[in-house]
Amino acid sequence: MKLWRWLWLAVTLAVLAEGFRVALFQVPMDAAQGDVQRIFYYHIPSWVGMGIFFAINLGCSLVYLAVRNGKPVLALKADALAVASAEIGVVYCLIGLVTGSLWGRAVWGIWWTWDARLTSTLVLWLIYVAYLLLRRFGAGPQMRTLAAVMAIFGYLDVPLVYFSTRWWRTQHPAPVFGGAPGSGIDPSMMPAVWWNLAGWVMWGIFVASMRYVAEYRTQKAEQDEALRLLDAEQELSGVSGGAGR
Amino acid sequence: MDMGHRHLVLAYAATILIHVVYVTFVAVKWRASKRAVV
Repeated sequence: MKLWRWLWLAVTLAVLAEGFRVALFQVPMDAAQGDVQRIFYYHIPSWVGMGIFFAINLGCSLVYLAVRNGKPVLALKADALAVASAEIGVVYCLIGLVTGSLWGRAVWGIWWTWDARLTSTLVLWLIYVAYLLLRRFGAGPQMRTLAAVMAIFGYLDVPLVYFSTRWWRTQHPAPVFGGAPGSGIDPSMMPAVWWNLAGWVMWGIFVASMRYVAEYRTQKAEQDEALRLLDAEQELSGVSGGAGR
Repeated sequence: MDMGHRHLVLAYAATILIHVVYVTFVAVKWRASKRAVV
């Protein structure tokens, strides 16, 4: 692992540790919900992380479709980054669903309800799990093209998830940030949001970069091996063709 | 420990557990990719 990755990891872990301390021991307890509200400091960064990494996946899928015939190296890199960002996006989405469910059990008294936000998020998670399954069990350039197209259609659910609490008023709380006048949390609680937001996004970048390198190396090795076999086959057919004449 | 505290602890534990599982997966892929290059 390169030096900058170790440095990035060290800073990330320090930010996460500070986020943990601020969220649990520094910011005041919510007057209405009590300590269970502190789940929010991990819940929100998960959604932000998910939004960022699914957007990267969308961008990489578009790049892959645009350059897959003309620039194979760039296409391979875009495809590898698309896989890495989709995986970490799925991880963050799962954490958001699990932490939300635990909060719901404590505050609403139920683990789950088929509310607009929860349902659209579950569908989003399933779409990207299907995307990863397609990548895992498919093979060849057609699979990559199909996956890129699927990623574009899958991303259409992201704005639906975001606006679901604005368009439909169901069980999920109204938007905390950017919602109706008077929404938001007390400024004294914001440090916990910022520290955890920074820490979890940095962590996601670190893990996604590792995954990207691993995926690119694997794909490159597979491609090189396929080209080597093709060359060997052509050489062999050339030799046997020459011997036949 | 009341219900709120229990759920807070569970949420933190679930967050860490999911990340540990995924990082293990990434580490396996990382090592496999190194072998693939060699």
